[in-house]
Amino acid sequence: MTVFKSILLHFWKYKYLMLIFLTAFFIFAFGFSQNSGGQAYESEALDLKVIDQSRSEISRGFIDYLSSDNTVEVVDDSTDFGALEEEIFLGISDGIIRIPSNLEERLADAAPAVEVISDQRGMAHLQIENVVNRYFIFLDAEQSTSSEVDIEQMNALLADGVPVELHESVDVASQNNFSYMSTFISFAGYWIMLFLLIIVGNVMSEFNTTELRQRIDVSPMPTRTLMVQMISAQTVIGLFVVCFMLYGGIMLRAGHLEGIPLVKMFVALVLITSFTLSIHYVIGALTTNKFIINGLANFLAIGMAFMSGIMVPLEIMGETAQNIAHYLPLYHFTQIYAEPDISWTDSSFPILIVVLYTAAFLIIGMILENKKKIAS
Amino acid sequence: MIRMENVVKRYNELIALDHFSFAAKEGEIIGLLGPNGCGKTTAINCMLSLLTFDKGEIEIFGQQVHPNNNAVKSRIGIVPQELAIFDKLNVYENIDFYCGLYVTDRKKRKALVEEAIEFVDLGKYRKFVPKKLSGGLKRRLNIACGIAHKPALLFMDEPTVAVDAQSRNFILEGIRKMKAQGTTIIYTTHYLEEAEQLCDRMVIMDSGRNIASGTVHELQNTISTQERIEVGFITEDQTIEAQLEELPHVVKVTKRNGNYLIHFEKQENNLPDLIKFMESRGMSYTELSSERSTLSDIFLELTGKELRD
Repeated sequence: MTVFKSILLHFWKYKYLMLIFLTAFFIFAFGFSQNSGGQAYESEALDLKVIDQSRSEISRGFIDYLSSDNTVEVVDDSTDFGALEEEIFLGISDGIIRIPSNLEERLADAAPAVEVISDQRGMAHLQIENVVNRYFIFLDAEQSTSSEVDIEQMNALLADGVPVELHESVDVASQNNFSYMSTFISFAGYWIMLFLLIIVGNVMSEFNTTELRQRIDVSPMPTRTLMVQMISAQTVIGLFVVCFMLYGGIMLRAGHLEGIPLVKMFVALVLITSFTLSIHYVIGALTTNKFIINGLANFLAIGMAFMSGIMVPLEIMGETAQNIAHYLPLYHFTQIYAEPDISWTDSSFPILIVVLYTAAFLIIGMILENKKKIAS
Repeated sequence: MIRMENVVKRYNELIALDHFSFAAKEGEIIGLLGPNGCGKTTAINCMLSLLTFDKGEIEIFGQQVHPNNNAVKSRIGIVPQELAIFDKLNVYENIDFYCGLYVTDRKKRKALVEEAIEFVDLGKYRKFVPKKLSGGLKRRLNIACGIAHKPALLFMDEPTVAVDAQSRNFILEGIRKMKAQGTTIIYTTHYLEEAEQLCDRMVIMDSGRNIASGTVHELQNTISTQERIEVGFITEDQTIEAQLEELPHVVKVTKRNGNYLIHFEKQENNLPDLIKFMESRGMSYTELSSERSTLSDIFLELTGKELRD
C-alpha cells in the first residue's frame, strides 16, 4: 500500500488548495440557493406597451391598475408589432400586453385573459406575470362573489396592497427543488472536473516524472500492483469529493429534496469523476509539465462546461453549438438526471455514452503510455 | 555478481552500446568512466531492465535480467544522477516511500528508514521538505532513498555532482562503509580522482564500447606514457627541448607553466637517468618533480579526448 498511502499523503499536502476549491464551490452554490426558485424579488416600475383591442371597462380598469406602479403606453392596433418586440430585445421596453377584443368571453371561459410578450429570461417577465395574474385572480374572485364588479373600487383595493398569494402546488415545489438541485449537480460536475484535473494532475505529475518513475520501475513492485494502487488512491479522492459535494448539496437544500433523483445524480457524479480521471490519464501520458496540465485542465473543463449547457443554457446558444453539445460527455452527464422522474431506462443511454467516453480515453492513454515505453 | 556479455543497444541508427562486456564481483566498487554520451547510463539502464537491448546477455546474481524478475530487483538499489525525490514529502516520508517499495513489513521498514537517516546524517532534518535542504543535503537524501532497503547491488550515477567538499567527503566515506558491509557498487563519475580513491576496478567506456578495464595500476600499464617529469631550468635555452628529446624512452616533451614536462615510456629508472643526463650536459635545474600517469592521462591516451569532452 506504499504508493496508495503516498498518493493520499500527497493529496493531504494539497489540503489548503483543496479547501479553497471546496469553499469556493459552496460559496457559489450557496449564492445559487439564495436566488433559486423565484421565491423573492423586488418589484420595480416597468415600461409596458399595452394594445387594447377590447376597449371595455375591464380593460380600462386593468390599464389604470397597471399605470399606478408602472409606465404604461397604450398603443393602437396599427403599430408595427415587430418594432415593439425589438424594443423588448433592445431593453427599451419590458413587455407588451395585448388585451384581446373578446376579453370578457375569455374571462368567462377561464381562458388566459391577456397575451404577455416579454423576455422570459429576465426578472421583469416574472413581475409582469405576477402583476397580471394578481389582477385577474382578484377580478375573478370579485365576479364570483358579486354579480357586478366595481372596477374603480377593486383598483383602489389592489392599490391598498391587498396581498394575493399564489400558492404553489406540490408539483411546482418538486419542480423547483429539482431545478435547483439539477443546477447544483451540473455545477458540481464542472467543479469536480476542474478540481480533479488540477489537483490530481499536479499530484500525479510528480509520480510520473522520469527520475521518480525510474526509481519505482526498478523496484520489485509489479506494474499491476502499482497501477491498482494509483487508481485506487485517485478513486478514493474522487469518491470523497463526489460524496462531499452531494452531501453539501443535500445539506443546503435540506427539507427541499422531494422530486429529486438523488441516486441518478450520484451515479452521474461518479461517472463524470471516472471520465475526468481517464482524461487525466491521457494528459499524464502526454506530459508531466504542471503548467501544461493546469492549462489543459482549465481549457477542457471550462470549454466543456460552456459547450454543454452548464454555464450558459443551451437554449440560448446557436444551433451549431447545440449540435456540438450532443457530442460532449458533460452534456450526457447532465442528461442522466435531466428530469425529476427520469427512469433508469431513459438514463441508461447518457450513462452508456459517458462510460464509452471514459473507456475511449483510457484506451488512448494506454496507447500513449505504450508508445512512450517503446520509444525508450 | 554482474555479467554483461556483448550487449548491443541501438537507438535507430545510433549504437549506444557496441558489444559491451563487463563483469563485477561481490563486494567490489566498479567505476564506470567515460565522457558524456559514451553509453554509461544506457549500460546501467539495461542492467536495471529499464531498457531492452538488441543483442547480448546480462546476468545479475546469476539470473537473466527481466522487468518481471522481482527476486533480482529486490536486491538492487539505485541512486540516480538527477534528484529523484518527492518535493512535497519530507525527508522521512521520502525514504519511507522508497523503502516501502521493497520492504512491506512496517516495523522492519521503520528500523531501516531510521538506519538510512542515520547513515546519511539527516537526523536533524527528518521533517524538512527537500526545498528547505541545501544541495548537498538533497544529494544525501537521494542516496538514503536508494540504500534504505540495504541492497546487495547498488548503482550510483554521479552521486557527488554539484556537492560541496564536506558533503562529498561524507558521501565517499559512506560508500566505503557500504563496501565494507559487502555491498557491490557500480559507480559512474566524471571525477577521476574520486574514482581513483574509491574504485577497486574501472571500466573505461567510449562510443558504447569497453575500451579498457582493470585496477588503476593495470590501466597505467596499458598505456605508453607511464611517468611524467617536470623540470624547471635557470636559463632559457632554445636547444633544451631538442636535447631532452634525445634522452632514451622519452615519448614527447611539452611545456607547462614555463617548465618542461617530459613524458616517459614504461621504465624503472627514468628519474636517475634524467638527472645523469642533465649533469652530463651541464644543464642547471631549479625544480624537478615526477608524477605517475593519472586516470586522466590513461583516458586521454585511450580515447584521444578529455573525460569531460
